[in-house]
Amino acid sequence: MHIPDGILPLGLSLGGWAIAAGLTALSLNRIAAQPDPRAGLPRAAMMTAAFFAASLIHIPVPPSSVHLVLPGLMGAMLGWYALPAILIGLAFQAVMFGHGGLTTLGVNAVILGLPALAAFGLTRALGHLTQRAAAAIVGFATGAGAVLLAVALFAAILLAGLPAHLDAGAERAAITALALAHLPLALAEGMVVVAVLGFLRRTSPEMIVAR
Amino acid sequence: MRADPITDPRLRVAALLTLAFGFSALHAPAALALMVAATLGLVWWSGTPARRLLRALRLPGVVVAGLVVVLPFTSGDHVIAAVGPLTLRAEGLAAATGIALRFVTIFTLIVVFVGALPLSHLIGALRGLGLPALLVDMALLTLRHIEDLRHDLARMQTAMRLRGGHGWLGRFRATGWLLASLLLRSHARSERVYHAMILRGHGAKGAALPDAAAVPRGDKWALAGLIALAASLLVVDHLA
Repeated sequence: MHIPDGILPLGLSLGGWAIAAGLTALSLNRIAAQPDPRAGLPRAAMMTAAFFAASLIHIPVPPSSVHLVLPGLMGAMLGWYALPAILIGLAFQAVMFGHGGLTTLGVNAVILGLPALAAFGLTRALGHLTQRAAAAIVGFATGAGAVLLAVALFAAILLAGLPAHLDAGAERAAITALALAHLPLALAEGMVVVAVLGFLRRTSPEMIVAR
Repeated sequence: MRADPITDPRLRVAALLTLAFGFSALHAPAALALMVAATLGLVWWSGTPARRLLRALRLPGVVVAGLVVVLPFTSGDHVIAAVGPLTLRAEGLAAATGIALRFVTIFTLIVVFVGALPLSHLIGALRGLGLPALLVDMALLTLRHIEDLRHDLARMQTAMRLRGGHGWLGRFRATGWLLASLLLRSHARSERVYHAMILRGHGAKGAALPDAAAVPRGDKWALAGLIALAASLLVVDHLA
């Protein structure tokens, strides 16, 4: 779900950087307004490392396997720290593995950062629900919804940015293929996030703090 | 072994961003050809081994290859060849060629300018370029945790496999619990490390920042030359 260099036109790449910079500035501003802005740093760094390593966690989904992306979990656990954390994780992935890109770093940060912020909003609004079934539904919506939103943004930006126009049939086929290809990931990530949040709620509830 | 085009990490980042964004705006065949020639020149200048470049390109290249293969058959109106149900179209072929060339050259720039730079030096360069302190600290702490976390993850995954006994659905819950255990363990360590850093004076008011090293004159000229190169390519692209 990372757009590499060379595909998007300059305007879209610069626009992505501008939006990512704006969202990062907003996040840093909200973090600075907290009583101890640096208190969340260790958790944010730990989650950034987890985001970076998430590509190593493969879950078999026949006939293939998927690897976790974690924007929903980042949003639920980090709140306003999520977007800076995703930006750093993406930069490391681009430089170390060539996964994603440099000119597309902003766009990729928006693709994963906006769903993380949406997950943060959802957790803040409904995270107080303690009934097991309700908490599981909120957790699943956080994990799966963030992935689906990221896929939608990815498809929209990729199709808008392609230097050649696809005909309507090919465009529909591409969107359908993208959605179908990522559906197993969304379901897998929804179930994994339910398990993670359920585990943390029982053992260390202070770690699920969406501020 | 030839010298790096630029030695100062801050100017390397500046040159990389200038050239990468410049290259991403090129479309005309003449400009794309000059872009490839300039990249080959930079590879030669830096002495980057071709084997290292090809090894680095292997994984990301696969991602772009999918798009590059599909576009010539799905995009455009002017059919230039037909093989059975597949029709090769001029517009799609041109777009795919442009994407492939821009991707490979920008990726090569990353390897040439920052590929051999330790990540801690890169973060230091970004700090020197004005990255907010909170982001710098987060990046440094992340760097500190990545290897630990990968090591813990590999160990816990092995233990999970050895325990076995998970059905297909149970596998999701087991993976979630593994991830949660990993986060709990890493969180405790992360807090300890950060508090130790603060005790040693990290981030304290009045703490001396490392002096910004003076930029060598040769680096300034090299950066100016690379900016001129990017600007020239944009002009060629505009005129072509």
